[in-house]
Amino acid sequence: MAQDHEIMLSVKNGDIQKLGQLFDKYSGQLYNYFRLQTGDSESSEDLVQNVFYSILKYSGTFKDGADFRPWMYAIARNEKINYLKSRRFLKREADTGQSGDFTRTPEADLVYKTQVHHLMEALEKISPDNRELIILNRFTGLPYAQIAEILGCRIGALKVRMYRAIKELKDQFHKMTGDEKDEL
Amino acid sequence: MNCEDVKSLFIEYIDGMLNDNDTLRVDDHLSSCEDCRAEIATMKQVLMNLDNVVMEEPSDNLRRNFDNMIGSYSLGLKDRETPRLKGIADRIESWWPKRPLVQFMTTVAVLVIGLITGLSINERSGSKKEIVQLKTSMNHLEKVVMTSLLNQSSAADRISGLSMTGRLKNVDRQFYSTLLLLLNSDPNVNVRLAAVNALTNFADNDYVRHELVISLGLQSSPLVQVSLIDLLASINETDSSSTLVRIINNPEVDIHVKERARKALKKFI
Repeated sequence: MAQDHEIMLSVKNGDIQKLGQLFDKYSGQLYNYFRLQTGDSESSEDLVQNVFYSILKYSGTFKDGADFRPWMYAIARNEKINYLKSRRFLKREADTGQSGDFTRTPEADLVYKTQVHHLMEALEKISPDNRELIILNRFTGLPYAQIAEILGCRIGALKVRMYRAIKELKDQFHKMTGDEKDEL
Repeated sequence: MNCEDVKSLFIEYIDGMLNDNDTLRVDDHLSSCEDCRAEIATMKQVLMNLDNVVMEEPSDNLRRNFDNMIGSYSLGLKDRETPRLKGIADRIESWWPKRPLVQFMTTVAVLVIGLITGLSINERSGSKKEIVQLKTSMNHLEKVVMTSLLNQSSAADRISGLSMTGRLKNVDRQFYSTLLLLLNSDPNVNVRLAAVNALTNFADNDYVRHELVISLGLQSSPLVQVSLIDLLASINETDSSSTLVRIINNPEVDIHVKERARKALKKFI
C-alpha cells in the first residue's frame, strides 16, 4: 500500500483523484479535530472540505520526502484559527451574554452522565490551546516531534505544556463533578 | 530528579514511550514521593478515559461534497491545460510519414487539395449564408445541451453545464430563470457558486441584475454571499445598497461577508 507522501506526490503531479485515498483515511480524524474545538458538526464538515481544497490548491508546495500528516494538520490549524476568529467577532457583535460555544438541550444533557462524557465536557471548558494540544496528542496519533512541528515549538517545551494541559483537564473535570477524590 | 522535572515525563511514562533510563528515574522518584504517585494515578485515569472516547463519524454529505469538489477541480484543470488540443496534435504527428520523399509528396497533395477546395468555396454564392445558418443551429443545439446538463442529478454535471453557459448568446428569460433557480435553491454550495460565475456572463441584462439583488438577500452561505456581493459591486448595481446595509447590520452574518458588503457599499457612495 502506498505511503501518504507517495500518494500526495501523485496528487501534486496531477493525479488528483488519488486525494480520495487520503480523504478516506483522514477526513474522520480531521472532522473530530474541528468538532472538538468548534462544537459545531456542520461547520466542522465545511472546515474538513476547506482543508482538502487547500491541499489541492497548495499541492505544489508539498515537498518530496515530507511527512503528509504534519503538513495537513498545519493547514487544518490555520483553517481553525480563521474560523474561530470570525466566530469570536460574531459573538462580540451579537452580545448574547452566553459563555462557551457548547450549549446542549436538557435531553442531551441527560445522556452526558458517564465518566467519558463528563471528561468531554471538561475538555470543552479548558483553554483552547490546551484543548488543541490534547486533541493532537490523544486523537490523531501524531508523535511529539510532529506536534511540535505543527505548533512551532521545541519538543521539551511541548512535553511540559502537555503535562499542564492534562492537569487542567483533570482539575476541570473535578470542578465539574464537584468531587476531588473519586470518579477518576 | 525533582517533582517538576519528573512531571514533564508523566505522559510518556504512562504511554510507555520513555527509554529505559528515564523510566528508571521516574520509578525512583515515584517510590519516594507520595504526591507524585497520587498525581500520576489520576493522570493515568484521565488519559485512559480520553483514549476510550469514541470519535463521531461525519455525515455522508462530507464525502459527497468532496467528490463534487474533485469533479469541479478536475474540470478547472482541464480548462487550463486544454489536453484535447495536445491529444489532437499528438495524433496528427503519429500519422505524419517518416520518409522524406513521402513527406514531400503528402505536402504537395495537401496543398493541391487545399487550393481546389478554397476556389470551389469562393465560387459558391450562398456559402456565407449557410455558415450563418449553421452557427445559429449550433447555438440552438448548445442551448438544448445546456438545459439538459442543468437538469442533471449529479452536482459535478450541473457545474460542468454551468461552466459552458458562457459560450451561449441570445438566450431567453427561461434560460436565465434556470440559472437563477440553481443559484437560489441548489442544495450544493459549489453549484450555487458556479451559478454566480455563469450569471456573470449575463449581468448586462436588467432582469438578471434585478434577480441577483433579490438572491443576495436569500443566500445563507458566506461563500455565495461574497461572490454575489463582488459581482454586484463589479457591475455597479446600486439597487443592491439596501440589501448590503441589511447584511452589515445582521449579527448572524459572517464577518468576512460584512467586510465585503462594506467595501461594495463604499464603492457605490
